[in-house]
Amino acid sequence: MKRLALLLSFLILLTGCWDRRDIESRGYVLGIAVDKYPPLPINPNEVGSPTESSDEEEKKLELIELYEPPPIYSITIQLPVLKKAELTTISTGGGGGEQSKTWEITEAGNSFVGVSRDISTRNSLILYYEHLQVIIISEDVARDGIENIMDFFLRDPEMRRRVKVFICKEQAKKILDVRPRVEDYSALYLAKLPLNATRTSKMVHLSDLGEIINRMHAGFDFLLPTVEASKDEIKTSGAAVFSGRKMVGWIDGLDVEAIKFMVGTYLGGVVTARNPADDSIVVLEVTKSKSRITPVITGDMPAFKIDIKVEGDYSEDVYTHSHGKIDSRYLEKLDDYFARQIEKRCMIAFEKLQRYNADVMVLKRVLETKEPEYWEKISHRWDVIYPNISVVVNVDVDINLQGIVK
Amino acid sequence: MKADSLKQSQIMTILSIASMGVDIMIVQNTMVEYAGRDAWISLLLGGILGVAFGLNMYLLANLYPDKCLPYIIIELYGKLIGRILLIPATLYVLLYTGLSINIFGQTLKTFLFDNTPLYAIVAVMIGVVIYAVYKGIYALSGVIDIIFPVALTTLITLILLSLQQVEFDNIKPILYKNHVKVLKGSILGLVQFQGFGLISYFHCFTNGTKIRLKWYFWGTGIPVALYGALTLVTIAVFNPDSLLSLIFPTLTLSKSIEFPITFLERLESIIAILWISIAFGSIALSTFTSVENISALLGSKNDKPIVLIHIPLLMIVSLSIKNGIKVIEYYQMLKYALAGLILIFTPFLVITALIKKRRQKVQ
Repeated sequence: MKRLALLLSFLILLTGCWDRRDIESRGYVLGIAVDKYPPLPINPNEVGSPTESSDEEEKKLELIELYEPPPIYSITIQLPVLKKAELTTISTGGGGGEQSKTWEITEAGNSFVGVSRDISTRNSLILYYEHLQVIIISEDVARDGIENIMDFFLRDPEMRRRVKVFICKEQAKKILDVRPRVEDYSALYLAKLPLNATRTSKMVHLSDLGEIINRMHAGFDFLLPTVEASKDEIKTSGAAVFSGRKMVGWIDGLDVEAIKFMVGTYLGGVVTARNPADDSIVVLEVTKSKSRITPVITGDMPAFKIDIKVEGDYSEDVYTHSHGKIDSRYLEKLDDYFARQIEKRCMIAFEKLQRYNADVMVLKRVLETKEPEYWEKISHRWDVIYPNISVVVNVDVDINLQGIVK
Repeated sequence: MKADSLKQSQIMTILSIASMGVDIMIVQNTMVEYAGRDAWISLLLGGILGVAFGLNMYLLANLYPDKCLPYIIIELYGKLIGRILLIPATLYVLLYTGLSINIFGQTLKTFLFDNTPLYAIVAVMIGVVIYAVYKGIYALSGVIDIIFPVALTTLITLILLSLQQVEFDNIKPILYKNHVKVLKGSILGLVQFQGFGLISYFHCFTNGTKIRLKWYFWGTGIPVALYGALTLVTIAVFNPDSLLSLIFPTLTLSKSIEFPITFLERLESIIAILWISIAFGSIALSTFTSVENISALLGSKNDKPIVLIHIPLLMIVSLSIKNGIKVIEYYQMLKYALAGLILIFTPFLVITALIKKRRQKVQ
């Protein structure tokens, strides 16, 4: 009797689950693009963009009744069309063409949860954010303040803290509309680019949601990678500078590289310098870089000494023929050229940051941790002090290898 | 059938698991609210205090090796006063167990089963806990022995994997103008280790043998070290300001871990699943103590009906509050009350026991 009761209880306990979802009924959101409403018009002549009439039709669908109109954001999500995942042809007709492997749905609204639910009026799949790869934010939205749009990404338990965040100079949706040549989905393509940070340091690689949230909560300024696109290509180089949670400007890839040298997050890349002896270009492939920032307190104004130790391999010379010339004295000269070049680039980048009044190197934390008493005295004036502080950068370069020719 | 008795080493596993459970998911937030970036020091100090106060219970249990705490209280103060003194402890354990089950349910609803009703999660947990307690101390301690290595491995793995995200500048400057807060926070740290007091409930099941201090120190040292390390790593990963906004820092920490390949993409789900067993162990142990308390209070010789009464009691307590934040707030308030109980009642109890024993010797 007991066994029978046990077996019957299995029928009730083991046959159902409130959270059961068939895998094919889920809509796996791979990317989110956030633009201001109304979005910028897409060039109708561009291959891959919708025709004017289909664009107009889609615009009607993008609008839905809101509790608190007008809509502020135009939010686009990218869903993979799993049935077409094996297609090898490149899409023609963006935003959901017949051959497209993805579906980019745009909806206007003033809250992300609202938009996410309203998309259910146009899409039978249940949106699922656990596999979200990238969030792309347009410059307009970023300049208004990135904090305004972050709550949903923080609060929702489906969100992952390792989702990469990018800032786009143009319309953010355009990045999701890219039909990549190698990858299947533009969101995945973009999410993988920062993995190349060991090969080039011109891109910001520490730009995930968790990193931004930590910096915002701690009151630190930060950088987010810039992203641009053509119809089938995406490029990330340089960064958007954020001060006080609002975007204040742009810096280029070389600035990003210099900042990475200074804060010690340089993973790998190439430094070129001019050899003044023969005006040739010499190339160093950096294999290791370390930095130490030391505050120097003299009177009211703090200064910082940044010591950078760089190791690398001599990779190339251009406009000259150094074969047979490389000896220890020549290498010492090269060390010096590279060191001066890095110092110069560091100073240029730092001055730009000072102009933006953006302490993205978090020098204030250096002061707080190393000179806490002094920091207490000046912390309330940091915004005024920071643009005027001086920095001394000392770079020491060591060349380890030089290839197979002398 | 084997006798209901415990091995010496099982005291270690019981003390360790009793101190983990639900608190391991939320402890960092509570501690940082009090002691800021030095919260991990508060927690370690609290752990040392916990070990010291637990030693009182160890001493008490050795003075009365055949009795568990509620019966010792009745023995010391008589049936009437002893039972009156037992009422707050009984209420505390019952409410603590109920709220722990609620927090457990809320955590699972947030991270794993968002559509499953809270009552279903709570009912299943209460069902398995009551079954384990009903089966007696031998079955319960056996399960705890299985859970112990799972708990240890889960937490150590999480701490090690989180090291790649750590920024030690987040915990600096250490102890800078924060000594008072750190010391105050250590009292809050102490109540995170309330499980150490369970030695006075389980000692009597070791067939009257005196438990070697070695097992007590292992059982208490392991959770103190793990809590301390976990809190340190969490602060170093999130920074204190960010941590203040996180309700479940441990699971959020597991969400922060990234593997270069998409292997183990949902690590937090695995951690949450392993944590279910840890929470089960902790809740089962506190239910067991609640059963002992109520049995002593009612003077019942048979524990079985008291175990079954816990089904509706725990259902009522654990489903009385729906909002997750409110539950955690009440849970913390309950813990402050416990701090009073530990700080005042424990030494009082030991002193009474020592005086009574001395008098008995003199007589």
